[in-house]
Amino acid sequence: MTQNVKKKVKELLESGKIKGFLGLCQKNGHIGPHLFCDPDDLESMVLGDEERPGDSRYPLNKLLIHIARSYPDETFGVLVRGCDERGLKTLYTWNQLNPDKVIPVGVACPQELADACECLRPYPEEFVEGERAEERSSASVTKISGLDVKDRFTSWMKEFARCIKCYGCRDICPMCFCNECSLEAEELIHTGELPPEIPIFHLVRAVHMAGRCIDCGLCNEVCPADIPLRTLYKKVADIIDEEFNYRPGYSEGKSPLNILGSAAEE
Amino acid sequence: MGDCHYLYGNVATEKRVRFLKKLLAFSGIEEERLRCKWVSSAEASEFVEEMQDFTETLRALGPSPLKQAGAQRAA
Repeated sequence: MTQNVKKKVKELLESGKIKGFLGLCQKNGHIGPHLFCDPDDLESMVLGDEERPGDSRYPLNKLLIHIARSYPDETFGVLVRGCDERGLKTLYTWNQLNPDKVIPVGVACPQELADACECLRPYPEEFVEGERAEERSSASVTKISGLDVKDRFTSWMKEFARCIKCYGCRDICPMCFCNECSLEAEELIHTGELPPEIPIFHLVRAVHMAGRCIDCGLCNEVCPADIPLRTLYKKVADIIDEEFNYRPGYSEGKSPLNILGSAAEE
Repeated sequence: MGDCHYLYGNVATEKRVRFLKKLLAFSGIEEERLRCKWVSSAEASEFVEEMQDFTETLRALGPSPLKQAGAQRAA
């Protein structure tokens, strides 16, 4: 399954178009992010499908921000699924990455993964591996919306109550690039008790996902308490789309909630 | 709109409130508990009227689910 990606990366590295390729490698039985710099050393490259498709995903575009900052003059390649590409596009609009210095190499997700993710677009614009799977709508959001208001509250509180405040959702999020995080502001967030103050802790994060979340679902995967954060943020994205006709990673331009620059004055 | 002491403050607020009302509803908190009205400091009677109306709305809704959840935790 990786032949086409390897071939493409080899070409890019040999031609000197990229300094390195940020992808995934399998070593000692584990899959993890890896920066491939040698065109003759791509043997360990994998796409992150261990037991099931896409079960070993990483926020590669988030890691790329750090690499690009250390080597601002270099161009890097990066492995992208549909969601990662949406992430790149959104990070460009927030000036976290320079599109001229990034060459994405795309893979399309198999149907099984698209179904599990309820993904609106399980493929990047261009891809060298895989086939275009069918888009899926958000059944999980519809399910919660169908409850009456009291049951919605009870259901979310039950989920949030399991939170161990590990910050995993924020730490893995490719859209969480702020230097200072409200969720760590002592004036707003009490320390020393579990769960954190609910539902505020989770709703604060949900608000900050407005105009940002590109629905990669890594938060949901990483959550040790299995809180369905993805469903919450899917709804956040739906609201922004309904109200402002903007969906991060799908629409062009900046978030309608961006208070810097012209977006705020429109 | 836009004619705000804080420049585009009311524009940003209007957007956030539109978003928040729907997020609250999805989270199980009645969206009527959030209200945004523009009242200038010279319009005291409008402010009073609005607040009385809002108070009635909240009274009809009963105690906030957040308050009940907080009480349960404290107990």
